[in-house]
Amino acid sequence: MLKLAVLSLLNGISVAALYFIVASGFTVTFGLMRTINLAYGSLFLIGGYVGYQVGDLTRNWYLAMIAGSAIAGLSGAVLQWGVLDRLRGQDMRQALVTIGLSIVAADVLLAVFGGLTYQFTPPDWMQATVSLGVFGGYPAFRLLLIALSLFIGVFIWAGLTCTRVGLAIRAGVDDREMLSAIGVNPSRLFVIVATCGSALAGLAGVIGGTALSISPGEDSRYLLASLVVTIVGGMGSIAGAAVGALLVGLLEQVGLLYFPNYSIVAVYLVMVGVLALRPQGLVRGTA
Amino acid sequence: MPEPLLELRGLFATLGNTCILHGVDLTLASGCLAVVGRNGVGKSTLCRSIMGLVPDVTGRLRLAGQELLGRPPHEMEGQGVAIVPQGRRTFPSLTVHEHLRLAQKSKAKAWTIERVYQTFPRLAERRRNRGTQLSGGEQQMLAIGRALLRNPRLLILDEPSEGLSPLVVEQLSALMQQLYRSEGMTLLLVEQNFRVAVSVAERVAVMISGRIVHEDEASSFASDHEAHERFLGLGEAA
Repeated sequence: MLKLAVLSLLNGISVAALYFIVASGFTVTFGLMRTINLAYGSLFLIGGYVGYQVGDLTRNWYLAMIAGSAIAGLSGAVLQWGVLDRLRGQDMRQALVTIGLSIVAADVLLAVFGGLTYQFTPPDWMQATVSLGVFGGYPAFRLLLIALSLFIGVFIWAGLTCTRVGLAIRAGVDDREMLSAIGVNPSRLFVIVATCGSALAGLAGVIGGTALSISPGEDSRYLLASLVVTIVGGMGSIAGAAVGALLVGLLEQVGLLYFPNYSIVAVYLVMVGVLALRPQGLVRGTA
Repeated sequence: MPEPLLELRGLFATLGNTCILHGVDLTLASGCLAVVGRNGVGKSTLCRSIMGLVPDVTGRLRLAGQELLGRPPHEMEGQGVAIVPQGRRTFPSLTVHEHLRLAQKSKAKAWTIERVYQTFPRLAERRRNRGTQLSGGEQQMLAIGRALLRNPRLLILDEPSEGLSPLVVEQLSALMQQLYRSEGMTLLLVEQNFRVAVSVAERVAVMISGRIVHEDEASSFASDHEAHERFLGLGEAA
């Protein structure tokens, strides 16, 4: 029984790692920039599908990963520049337009890629199984996924706290006009941020399609996961996204083992609890 | 004849449905010009319009002969304009040092982070504090330091002495004089504190109802009691 518990714990952490990668992009664009992009799940799916096509053609998983991130980043940039920046500060319009776009994107993707479930084939060395002694083996790719999410987390945190771009983002969130008055073009800055955030969604699409799979409907699943993680963890906080992702991932996977009927409910109960007791989220503040 | 640094002709500015500036004509060749006037006559809107912070403006705004009306703030900044805004508007999420790091243009220019710390030692003591944890005077120093680090040609100061202790006001006045006398910066100073305005600036312009109605040398304006009464509603005591 212990073995099963340990494996489901690892499953929980690796799902949490995936949620963290998706939600870290979301928490920066939604939590920090206060841009409401409910088409964020579509960017995940676009990254996954395009990455799959590229991987299928070139037989190269790395290229698939790059292509998936790039196309999602590009789509996110166009969305920010063409739509969201023009609706700045109009939450309801941003929400409605991006919901509309996500419905269109879901149908277009269904028409192009069909209703099949795709799974990526990673390079051979990632398909190995790592031995965990008495607990048996565990797929190397999932352990890599956990490592990658840690790397991304540290990278974003350091970027926001130490670099001038990070300072400009935080300043722009505080007071866009004054940021502009000291010579930074806020629209351009926010397009750059949206590009990076969306590229993370695309990256997660490819990685999620490798660790699990991608199929129609995954867009809303990951959008919801990102929303829950961001709200539970605290808007705009990378540490909060990590805490939120761990909570959601573990509840989901460990819950599947011990209370399978209620594991999905548990996640939302946590969100309701956090909203009721600590509406600003578990971790406060930027970065 | 060289072009004046700042030239405004018939500048109108509208906020919402209210017209605030009703055709401002103003020329600032170099040095320091103070704009005085009662509350609500449009002095802050004038500052914000020059910085590009008011979207709804018409008329002419020339900087060193170049027509720049309607440019966004970051383009005005690129042309060498910086502002110390009313209410300071420091960034709540950034520490003092982060403000200065973000604003520093280059270590080779006249104003660097080190020089800001030398000028305002109080800021160096509070370098790890966030924008909102500072006193009003410290926030004002930070806002001034932030603008100076852009090494502007034209520095707009909107009520810089507001909320400062008399001692700091004195230091600040000396700094402003040094900036335009020995460093070649041009200053547009909006000031409620009449004494500061006439002691720092070379020239004084009076604004009433969104227009410049009077302009004079600071020294002669200081003793022109009739003008004080007529334009500012100040009695002999001022």
